[in-house]
Amino acid sequence: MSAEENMRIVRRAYTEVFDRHNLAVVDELYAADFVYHSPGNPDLDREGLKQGFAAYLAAFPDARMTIEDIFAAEDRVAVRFTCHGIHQREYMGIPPSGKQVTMTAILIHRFAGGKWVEDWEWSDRLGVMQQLGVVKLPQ
Amino acid sequence: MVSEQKARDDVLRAFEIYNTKDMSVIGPWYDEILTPDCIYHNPGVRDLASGRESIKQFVGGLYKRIPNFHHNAPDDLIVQGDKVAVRYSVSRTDPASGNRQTSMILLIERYAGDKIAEIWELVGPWQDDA
Repeated sequence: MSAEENMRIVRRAYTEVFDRHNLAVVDELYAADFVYHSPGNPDLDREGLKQGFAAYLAAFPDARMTIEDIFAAEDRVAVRFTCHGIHQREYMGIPPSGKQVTMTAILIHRFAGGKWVEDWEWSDRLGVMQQLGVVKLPQ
Repeated sequence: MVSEQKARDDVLRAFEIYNTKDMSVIGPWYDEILTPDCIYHNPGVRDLASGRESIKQFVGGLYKRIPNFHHNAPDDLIVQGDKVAVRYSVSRTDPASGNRQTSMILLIERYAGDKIAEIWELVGPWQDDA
């Protein structure tokens, strides 16, 4: 698969998951042995990723995801996105706050043999916790 | 537009230069690879004024503040057109425990001509090395 095709697959996954809340697309597009790495958290498999998406979409049902940047070379796709949503249900143990939350993330997606096999993700979680009023940074 | 080879070389060279921890080396390197009005976006570093000089001050502060700060070789390097993505990690000695710790970083750079005009960086938490 070309870098262009990989990029199309990534765009499609983001659209289906965030805009249409279609989590079935995860099984379709991600490899069965897919691994998701995010610092400070245990690695996730495909099912774990799906549960993570479901938890986020349940808490922020009106979330709007914007791909700010996407580019690809060889077997890698790099993405920078922002997500805006109102915190309407419990999220990571935090009761619904009704607050508008913006999250920024950078991801690297790896493809192998025509399959989406590995992600490295880091998002501004501290910023999310600050916006939810759970964490205050020293001035 | 920057060549793929130059963009790659810049990343690898930058890491060597950072590890000198010497602002008399890092400063001129920034003059060489950053545009004067380069913007650095990092949600963990709010209120940083735009421009190369404030990036120098910020980085200089890291070397003063963080004991045994070290840039590890990139784990992943993606270059396409005027964009570069890097997955890498930095290490330090935790001042509280004395443990060696590592933080994972995802970085995107945008070139304008042959200099970097904009940087986005997300920095993971410090974690004890296994």
